[in-house]
Amino acid sequence: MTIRLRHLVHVLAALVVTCAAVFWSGIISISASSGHWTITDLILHTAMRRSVIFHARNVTVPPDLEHPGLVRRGAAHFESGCAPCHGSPVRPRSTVPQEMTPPPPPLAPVIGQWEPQHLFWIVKHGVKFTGMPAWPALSRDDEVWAITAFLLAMPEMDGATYTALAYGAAEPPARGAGGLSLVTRPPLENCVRCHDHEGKGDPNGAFPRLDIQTEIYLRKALEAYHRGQRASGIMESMVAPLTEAETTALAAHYARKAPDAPAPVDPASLPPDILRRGKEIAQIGIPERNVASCLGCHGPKTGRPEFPQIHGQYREYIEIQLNLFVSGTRSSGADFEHLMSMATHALDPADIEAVAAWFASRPPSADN
Amino acid sequence: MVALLLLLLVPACGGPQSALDPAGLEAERIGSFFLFMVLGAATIWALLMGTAILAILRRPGRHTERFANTLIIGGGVIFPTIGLAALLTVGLRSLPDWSGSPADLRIHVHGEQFWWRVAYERGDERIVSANEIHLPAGEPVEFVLTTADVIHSFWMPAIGGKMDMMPGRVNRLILTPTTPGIYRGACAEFCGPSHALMAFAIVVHPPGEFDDWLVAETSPASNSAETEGRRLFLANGCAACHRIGGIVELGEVGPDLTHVGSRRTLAAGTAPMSRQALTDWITDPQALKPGAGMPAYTMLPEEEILAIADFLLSLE
Ligand code: HEC
Ligand code: HEC
Ligand code: HEC
Ligand code: HEC
Ligand SMILES: [Cu+2]
Repeated sequence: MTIRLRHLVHVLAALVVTCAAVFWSGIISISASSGHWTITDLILHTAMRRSVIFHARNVTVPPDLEHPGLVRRGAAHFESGCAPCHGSPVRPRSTVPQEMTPPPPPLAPVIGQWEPQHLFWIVKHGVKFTGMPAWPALSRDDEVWAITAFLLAMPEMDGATYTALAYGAAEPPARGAGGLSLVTRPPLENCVRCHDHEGKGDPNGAFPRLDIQTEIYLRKALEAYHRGQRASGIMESMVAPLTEAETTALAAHYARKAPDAPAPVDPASLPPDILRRGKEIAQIGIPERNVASCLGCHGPKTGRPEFPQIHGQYREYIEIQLNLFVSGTRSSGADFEHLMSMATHALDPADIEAVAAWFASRPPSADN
Repeated sequence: MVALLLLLLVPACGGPQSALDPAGLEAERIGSFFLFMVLGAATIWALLMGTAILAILRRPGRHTERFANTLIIGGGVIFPTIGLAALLTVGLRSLPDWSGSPADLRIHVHGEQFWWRVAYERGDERIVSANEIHLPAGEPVEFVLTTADVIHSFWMPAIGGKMDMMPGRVNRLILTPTTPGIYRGACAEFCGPSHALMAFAIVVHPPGEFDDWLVAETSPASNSAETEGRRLFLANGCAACHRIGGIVELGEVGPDLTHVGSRRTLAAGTAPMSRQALTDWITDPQALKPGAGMPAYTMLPEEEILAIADFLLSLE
């Protein structure tokens, strides 16, 4: 008998019908409890590796991924945002996520298999069909790089170092307290990990100071994170569980603290020309590029309680926020926010570096 | 009928912004040159039409070759050559000589989208102002014209001009206003959505009075009281973009407001200066002037905006 096209068509039709029947009957188990066959696991994981490598090919890695501020920012978020699934240098993975299929792997042994741009891509975009989530604020590559910086440092990190980075001024939880511990603690205990009891933030610029701000500014900022209007994968997840009353109380707590910490940067440690340029921008702006005088809004004699103070704020934080304003990514929905975007949208990277350095070298109580 | 319609246009020839109603030496020269051109053109036009009509009416017939050649060479070569040469001579003669400047008053005008930065320079003095030009009658003035962004064109039809402001170049213009009065100037090169709202008032002072004005303009803000309006001006970040001499001298993105209360118009001729216009402007500048580089303050309560407006009006 010769095989005719007609026969092929029949076989094909039978196959389609069988597949549809299997699909529709519900025979296939989607239970996570049964796990994947080894072969499925191999295929899926290989597909994931190839896909990550392909899609991360154009990602440029920023210099300076060893910066202690970046590692600290990454570590503190890792503790609340990743460790419950992946475990950390001081605690194993919690029990529930281990029952996922595929289960989140412990990360220390696998970091070495990836390049920095691959880790960045995984953390930013997540992995489809697994529980690996995408970064909650896709516009915040700077935050994803902070996590990446921490991941790169983690395999070599001992428990004590990790605890110091992840808990800062806060009391670390008792051993074995498990993955849900952070949510059940009083909210302030969580904030203290990063912002300190007094709101001093982190000396390496990982976290902003809060002690210099007014209550109304702090509350509006927390509300903006809560609405998802001010994009930050880190802060949005910190305020998500807060009630309105807790938000108000936290803003009041940090506003009560009188700033006593000195300027984070010693002016003598900065190149004089950077300092001079920074001061000039702060005082008169850059009129030919329509950049307004920062002191016209952020000065000791100007501004409203809704305007944040930046004298004495950390240099790294000022730079990040200015970059967000310039790229149009920082939005808070606050009443006065557009003043800032309109006044500074033409700043270039060199201006930002200079003006951030100058403000960071001013004590919070400076009178000009 | 046509004549009637044309008659309707006649009033547009006078007024504060007319090159046909000159108030400056250069504008007068251009005015008389224009008259000469119009009369000349009318004469030539009449001659041509006359010839054409004659040609139609005349019985066709043979002409001598000589007659035809005379007509063609005379009317087609000799007459235009002489006519154009005469025009060129008159034109070149009326070109001003700017190799040296006779002016001891220089006015720097810097075009911005969509307003004018103005600085008066006499001797070592340099006085910063905006959106209005003050001139002494009978004295030559040198304008130094530059731009911050795109091409603008500085034109004061009644006084003389116009001259483009080109990015990266400094253009000069020397003019001598003659008749005291208030005139209007405008940007004459399309420069963006609010090009039509980029104008300014010109005040030509009688001889002697200009110096009094300059002294007043040099002095710091006239109202130094610690009013609520002044507090609100500082609190809301207005000083980040606006200077008020003697009160706050920080940013310079927007016009100098030291004497804003004495200006005739608001925001470069957008509206006559008034409390209402100021209130509308501060509330929402883009509503009055699309593309203006000033943020809206719709979030402020009306009393606060009124207080700021009163403070600004008191700065004379
Ligand atoms: C809800 C649990 C969950 C959370 C939270 C989570 N992950 Fe994952 N992650 C997973 C799972 C599941 C995989 C396995 C994906 C796979 O096998 O393809 C994974 C894979 C990864 C990988 C790739 C590991 C490899 O080589 O296979 C990295 C890197 C990673 N996660 C980092 C992070 C970081 C950093 C965070 C915190 C920002 C985080 N994950 C948060 C579940 C989670
Ligand atoms: C894991 C570290 C971490 C924790 C925990 C944390 N924050 Fe933050 N916080 C940050 C970072 C990072 C930023 C900067 C975010 C940005 O770029 O918008 C920030 C920003 C803020 C800001 C805005 C500051 C400004 O000047 O605009 C406020 C307010 C704030 N945090 C309050 C809190 C409060 C209250 C808590 C406790 C509920 C808390 N944070 C917990 C890291 C943390
Ligand atoms: C016209 C007023 C105005 C001017 C001028 C201005 N700012 Fe701002 N700035 C603001 C306001 C309002 C905010 C708060 C925005 C919000 O609510 O999110 C802000 C926020 C900031 C922040 C974020 C602070 C934080 O804690 O998150 C930084 C940094 C900053 N400005 C720096 C500058 C610098 C540097 C300049 C000068 C180049 C400048 N600003 C000029 C009004 C202004
Ligand atoms: C970000 C900079 C900026 C801020 C902040 C700002 N302005 Fe302006 N302002 C401008 C610019 C630019 C113009 C010119 C707009 C135009 O005419 O095209 C202007 C024009 C004006 C004028 C018209 C001046 C004239 O010569 O007629 C007044 C009045 C004024 N602003 C008042 C205010 C007040 C009051 C505030 C605060 C409530 C304020 N401005 C805040 C940039 C600013
Ligand atoms: Cu123009």
